[in-house]
Amino acid sequence: MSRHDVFERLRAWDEGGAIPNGHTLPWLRATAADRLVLAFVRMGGESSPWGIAIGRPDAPPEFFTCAEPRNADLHAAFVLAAADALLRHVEHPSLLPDDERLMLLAMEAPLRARVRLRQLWVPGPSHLDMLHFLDFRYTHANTGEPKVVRRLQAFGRACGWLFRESTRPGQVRVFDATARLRRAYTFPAEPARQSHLGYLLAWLVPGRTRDERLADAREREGLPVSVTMSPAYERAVLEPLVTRYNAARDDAPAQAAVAREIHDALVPELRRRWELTAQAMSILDADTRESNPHLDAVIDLGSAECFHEYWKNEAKGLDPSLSDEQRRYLVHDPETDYAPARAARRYFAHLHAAELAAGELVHGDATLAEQSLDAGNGFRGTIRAVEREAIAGKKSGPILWTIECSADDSLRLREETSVCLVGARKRIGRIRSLVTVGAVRTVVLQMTDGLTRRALPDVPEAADVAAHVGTTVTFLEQAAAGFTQMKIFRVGHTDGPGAWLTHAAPLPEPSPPVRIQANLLELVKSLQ
Amino acid sequence: MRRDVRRRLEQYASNPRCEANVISAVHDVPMEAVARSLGFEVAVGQSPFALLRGQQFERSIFRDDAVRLRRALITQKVLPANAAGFVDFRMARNDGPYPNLDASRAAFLQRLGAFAKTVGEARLQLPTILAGPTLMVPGKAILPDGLFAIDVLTVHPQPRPAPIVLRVGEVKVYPDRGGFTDAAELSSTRAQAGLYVHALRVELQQSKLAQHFAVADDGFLVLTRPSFNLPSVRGAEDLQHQAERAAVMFDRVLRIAERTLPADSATDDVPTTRRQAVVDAPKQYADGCLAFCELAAHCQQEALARGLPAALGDDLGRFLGPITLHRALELLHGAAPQHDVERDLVARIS
Repeated sequence: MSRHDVFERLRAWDEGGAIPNGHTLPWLRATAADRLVLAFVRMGGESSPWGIAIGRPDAPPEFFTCAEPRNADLHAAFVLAAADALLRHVEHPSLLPDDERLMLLAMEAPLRARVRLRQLWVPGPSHLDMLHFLDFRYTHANTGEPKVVRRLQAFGRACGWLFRESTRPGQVRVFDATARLRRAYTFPAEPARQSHLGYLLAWLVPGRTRDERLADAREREGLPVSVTMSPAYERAVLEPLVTRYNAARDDAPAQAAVAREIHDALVPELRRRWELTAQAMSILDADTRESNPHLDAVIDLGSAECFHEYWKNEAKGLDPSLSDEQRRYLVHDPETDYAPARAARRYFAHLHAAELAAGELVHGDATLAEQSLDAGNGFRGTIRAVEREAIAGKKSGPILWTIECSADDSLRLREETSVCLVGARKRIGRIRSLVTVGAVRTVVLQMTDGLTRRALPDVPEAADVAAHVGTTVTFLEQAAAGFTQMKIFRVGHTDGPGAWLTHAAPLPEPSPPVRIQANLLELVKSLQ
Repeated sequence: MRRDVRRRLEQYASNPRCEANVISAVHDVPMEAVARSLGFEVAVGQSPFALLRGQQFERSIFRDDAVRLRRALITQKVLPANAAGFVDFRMARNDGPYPNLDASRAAFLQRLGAFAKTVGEARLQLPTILAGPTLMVPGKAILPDGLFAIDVLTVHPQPRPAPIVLRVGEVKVYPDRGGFTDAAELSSTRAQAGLYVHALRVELQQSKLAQHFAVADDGFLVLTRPSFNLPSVRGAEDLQHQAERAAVMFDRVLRIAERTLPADSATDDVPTTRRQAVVDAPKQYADGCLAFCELAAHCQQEALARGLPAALGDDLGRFLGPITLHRALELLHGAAPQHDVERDLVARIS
């Protein structure tokens, strides 16, 4: 929580409602066809869903429930019924004709274009966790009819991938509606309270006073929106029904009737969660702010992740010539990465995603740029001199910009750091020197890229003294996303540092055993 | 009074800065009763399904001489591969042999005394898992004589003269998802286990058994495997700092417990005079109150009415310091600062 967040919360309290956070939204608005809204409820203490509401935002959702979620067979049947909608959403290759699947597998681009804007919306973090639990439960399902087992496993893997994707920084595929609202607005409430979707939505109702919104928010807070239902509701309504259901195990018609009652009791709970999510989505869609104009790279990375981390392996796994053992290596295990190098790759992939999102979006949103400056990741000042360094024996030396800034501003950059100009990000300079005298910090930049009109047609050339001297400029640290991306691939090399310890094959020969010598002097002599 | 004080200690630890909470926990005046007396609607209780699952899980890991738990403890190297032996100190309502906490504690101390006397091979073959041993709260801090049962202890005998090592374990029903396991849950579970480490050390001291036993600084957590009713053990959990924190907490509780409150009731009803003591005590609302206290909404409203910045978050409370929300808004709208603290705030927000 930064000073900026705390201050904005005070301002929101002053305004009496939620206030916009930033000048843009860091995601694109997708069409209803590209969106799926998903909500769960669970039985208290269980880690699998009891009910699922799923559907496109422009149509009523479908509700799936299970009368007794502790019964593994019933649970599998219920999940199977709900699986198709999610698998369709992720374009699972088993739902495609063979020729189309093979074409998409061979040509990456069409599949990436198809899933580019797909979005899954859930009410909050506990619903994302439920995706992880479904991964645990069904990715390794192994009992039942083979066709059913394969579908359950595919569903488990889809849930697992969506859960993992939700943890990738900057991703725009899996949307926790509560977190997205908090990203888009600052709410005048303590952070602990802001984990309730209904509570947040009450602060966004227009045309009300602060007290009216606060009263509404408190009332809405009483209705649970996480996957867990109210214990009172479970005790009063659901527990007696489940008891009756289990007692009627020898009477199929009676049991079916109670199952319907359980379904009817769960639907309102599911519906509320689903509708709140759709409502949050509508509010964000109706926001007057544009999407960040620098989102393309972030979305491209998301579609590449979808193809390489999920779809490609799913499609390969459908190859009938593969043995079960070969297929196993195509599956991401919910509990482990197996190989340290694979874990390291994912670590660097996440780091790359974070750097890419931060580095790109900051140029499309003035608020992000200000926050970055506040954090000391750049500087703002007035250009005092533009000159060419004289180097003996050379016709022309590098262009140097001398910029004066306030010494009171925080700055964590050091000499040799590369920085880029906000508003013309291709113009890059390297900090030559940083000198502070009194209240003035003088930064000398050696301009390295984006110097000419050819590189930046709308900006005066870097050497144009008259155009630059006296103007105020903002420089931010240049994102080094490409460097981290390189590590993603290099970490898997078998000849890199540390590979002998983790994944090089075959492992190096162990050192020959050394004879133990009691006399240390003799030992040292023998080593020489 | 509730003699099983585990919940009360958790309540105390949740916000030790709030005097009302401290009095409620130490003197056992349930907040639920206080909230009802003030006319608030109170939603209490746990999910009946969750309670059942918790009981089933605990029974399942201790069933058949704790075979499931032992297997998991051996896999995680908490116990050696040849570990054997199980002693059950749980109460009858939890499938154990003892009718109450007093009987459980007496049996536990007696067994520890017997362990201390063992020598040679017998010492190395002591039972390695103890379920539900009961401890007395040190120094009778929680009036009148608090007792609580810890979930599980493992015994690690060593040849004399080395002491027998006892290792504390805490059983929870929430799922272990590796790095995705709920951090808040883990933190609270470790705090609870650290409290038991401290309490066990003091109990051994008081029972004059300390020279024969050493309580390990590390412990283990027993969680569930997601979607299965099997234990997932996290070993080598460092509890040293949590135990030190518990020692400080007990010391404070001891001092608070010395304050007298109006007499107890012989029935389950909480006398008005005792409730009033909590109502009248100063309250300190914090973000964490939402998670455990029935008065949280009431306290937040009061804090907002008084303009206390913590009502909008602990971080805002730290940001504004002694300046009220009302005054902060005036300063935000251009009012002239009156003293250094206000001048500092204006400098920070301008």
